[in-house]
Amino acid sequence: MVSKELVAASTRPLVLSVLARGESYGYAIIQQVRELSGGELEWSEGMLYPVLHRLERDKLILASWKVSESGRKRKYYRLSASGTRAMHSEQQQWLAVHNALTSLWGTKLCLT
Amino acid sequence: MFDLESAIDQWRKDLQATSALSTDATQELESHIRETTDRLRGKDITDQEAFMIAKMRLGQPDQLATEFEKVNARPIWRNRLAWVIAGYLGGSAISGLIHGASSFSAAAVTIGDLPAASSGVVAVLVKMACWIGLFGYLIRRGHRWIEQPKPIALISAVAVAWMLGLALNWGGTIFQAHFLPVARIGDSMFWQMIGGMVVQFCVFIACIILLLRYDRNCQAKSV
Repeated sequence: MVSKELVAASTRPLVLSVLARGESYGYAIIQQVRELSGGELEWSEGMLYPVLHRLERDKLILASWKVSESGRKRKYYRLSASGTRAMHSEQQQWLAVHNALTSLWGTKLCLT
Repeated sequence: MFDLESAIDQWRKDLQATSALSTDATQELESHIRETTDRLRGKDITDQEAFMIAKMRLGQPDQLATEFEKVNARPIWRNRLAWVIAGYLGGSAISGLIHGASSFSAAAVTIGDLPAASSGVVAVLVKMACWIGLFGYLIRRGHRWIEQPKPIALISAVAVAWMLGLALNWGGTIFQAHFLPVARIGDSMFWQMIGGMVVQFCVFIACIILLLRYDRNCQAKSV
């Protein structure tokens, strides 16, 4: 299970990356992240919404209310142009961390 | 018998009581809780159990409010500042109106041949009756003004109270200046001031008690 701190740090890049695949809404974003992480990333559901609202306030994502096929009103989010740039910047940073860690662990594995 | 709609209504009220959430955010969270409840329903559990699980997964209203407060910090402070200003203006207007009513009645009494001290007694009685009536109203109905603020009604009430308070104050003073000898006005004012001070002190104590009671209620609610 991923630690609380890492869950908090990765929420923003995860939300931006999910929305980079197409517009979505709160419940679906949570389900998608749960599935992609194989259940390792467990979000406290209500905590996603303040993050979405902060991203919306910072104009990284755009929101609109729509009625689904089942007749339920849902607030859909999609990436804005600045959101796409923010997502690429996050991607570079996370890949840098990822590369550093994998090369360290790779070296360690060779030594043992 | 469990009724999902009234359970959601109650949940929404608890959430709105935190005042940190906009209508938009409340609707969004409601949509989420309904969706989770619907998906859980088909899994051999009752509606009540499905709703309880959905509610638990979403998180406690006060925790959600704390998180939303960080996002909406500026509008929330603006809202609180508006309440402080409304409280100051409303308080001054009501206080002025009650003072006006009391001065006017005291002045009316002084015109008769009654002793000057009687104007003090009348001033105290009128003030006390007004404040008790006001506190009684606020304790029973005050929550309506806070839960569903009606800015236009509030501004109109404050404006009317200001004007009426001023009219009564001036009316009382003009009344006395016209019909009474200066020495008698002095005696009357002396007793009105002493009575006024006693009542203002009682009002201050009553406000402190009300605030402490409100604070205790809030803490009990959040436990």
